[in-house]
Amino acid sequence: MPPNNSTHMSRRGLARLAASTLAAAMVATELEASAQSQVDPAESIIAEVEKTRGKPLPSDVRKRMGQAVKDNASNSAALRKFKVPDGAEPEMIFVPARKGGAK
Amino acid sequence: MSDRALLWLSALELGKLIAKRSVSSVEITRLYLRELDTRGRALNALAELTPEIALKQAAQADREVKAGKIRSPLHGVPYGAKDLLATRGIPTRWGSPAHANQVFNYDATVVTRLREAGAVLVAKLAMVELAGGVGYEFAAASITGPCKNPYDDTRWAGGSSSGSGAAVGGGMVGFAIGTETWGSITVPAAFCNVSGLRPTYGRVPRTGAMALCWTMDKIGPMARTAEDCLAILRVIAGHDPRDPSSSTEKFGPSLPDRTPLRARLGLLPTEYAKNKAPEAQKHFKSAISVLQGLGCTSDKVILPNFPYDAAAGTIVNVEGAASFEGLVRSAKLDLLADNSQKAGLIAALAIPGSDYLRALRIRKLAGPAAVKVFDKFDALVAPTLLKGAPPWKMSLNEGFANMGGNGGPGNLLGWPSISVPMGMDADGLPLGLEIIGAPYQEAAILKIAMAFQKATPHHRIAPKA
Repeated sequence: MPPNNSTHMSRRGLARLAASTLAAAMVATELEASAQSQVDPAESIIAEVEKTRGKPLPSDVRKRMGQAVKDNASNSAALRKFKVPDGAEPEMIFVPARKGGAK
Repeated sequence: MSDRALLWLSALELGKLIAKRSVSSVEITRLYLRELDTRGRALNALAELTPEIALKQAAQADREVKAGKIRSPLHGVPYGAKDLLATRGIPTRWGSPAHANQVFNYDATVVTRLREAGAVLVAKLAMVELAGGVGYEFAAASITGPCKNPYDDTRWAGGSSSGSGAAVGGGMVGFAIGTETWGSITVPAAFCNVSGLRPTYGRVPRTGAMALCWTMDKIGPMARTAEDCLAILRVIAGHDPRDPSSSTEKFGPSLPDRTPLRARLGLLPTEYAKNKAPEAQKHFKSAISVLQGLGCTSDKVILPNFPYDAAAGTIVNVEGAASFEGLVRSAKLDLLADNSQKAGLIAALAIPGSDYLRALRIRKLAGPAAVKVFDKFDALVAPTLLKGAPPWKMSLNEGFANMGGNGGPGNLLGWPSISVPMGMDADGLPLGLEIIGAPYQEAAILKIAMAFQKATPHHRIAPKA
């Protein structure tokens, strides 16, 4: 189909334009929401803790949060790299595994 | 015997002298109180001196000796307890400025058991705030300030059982009680030339002890000899119905009877060159030669591949932050001494539940797989750490950069371990030998440690007066 150079728009064309504008707006809203949900985890927990304590955290503590979050993420990555079979249960009451296999 | 010689006797030697009435419990208690009040304070090893209760308990111990009643080999022997153990009517501050006014109206089970065994509580000993598990950067992370090393007061005593290490290493108590979640007994033991036993998880009940990490906290003895550790463990081990995680398995009175010592030792991989640790390498080699001379055999060992450190770190962080959540979410958090500790506690609140559960699931898989190394070996050995104590002023991130250490797997899986002195580095700082055993096999590692100490003088080297 050749490009439509007409300055007049048919009813069908108008409907198409409205639909695509609405879709674009929805995508933009979703992207914005997604960006908001990817807030720095340090900032998110800082905000939560500051709300409950009723005052801001000292600036040096805020600064160190970044490293602490990074350390936790590094632990998380190491744990996720290790394949745990689906359904493998955690031990909710820890008893050291004995030599010979008995508990 | 001179005062100095008395201060440096092992707990069992002191107990024998007291039982024979060669020295009274009151005399030795007064000596230790004096040392704690002077050198102990100067080193920041002291959380609280307990002279009234100590002299009362010592007088009672002496009366009982006179009447022919000896409660245990520790009868009348003065000791110090890490300040995370509850003591009735005596401040228990957990090393934390946020808990400066905390006093419990009950005793921790280990404190009760030691009292019933006739031991004399002379002091609560300094510790890193909240046992430091969620990450601290400076040795000064304590209400009592940086705990200094009795061998060199520009160096750190280690943590988190800092005062327990310094007081035993400095000849200021007959023995001490420490706790370990990850390195808190073995590290100060190595730095302060002390024998420190981390028992199997659950071996010693935690009733009345501050909880940092419910599934990894252990309570254990720190003393001048491994034989002392055995005697103390016999007193404090055993199930307590108030701590459901405490083991019902009895700690046997005897050690495996094998003479000569025919222990099979697994040598854990250690990166001496990478960490520039020739002195640790030299002393470790010499220690293994001594043990081989006693009849031990050795071979290299590699643990099965699991993310031990990441799992242990995640468990400690999550349980630690949960344990202190009320504090972490309040303005009282600002009272803690170390900003990295504060940041670590807050950040740990945001670790996903799925990560924590993954760590627990990995631990469940790793336990039975890793314990199989003990089918071939009676114990695993390595230097406790690769260097002597760092300066207490130095950032611990820097100070521990080349320290090595094998704390992750053993602490994650609840394995017992003992650190015993293995010599001094060129700066005169102590180095430790770590002997790790299978769960509930404390007797096996104690036997190796005791034989090693019979053959070596390292544990008898006191700091210069």
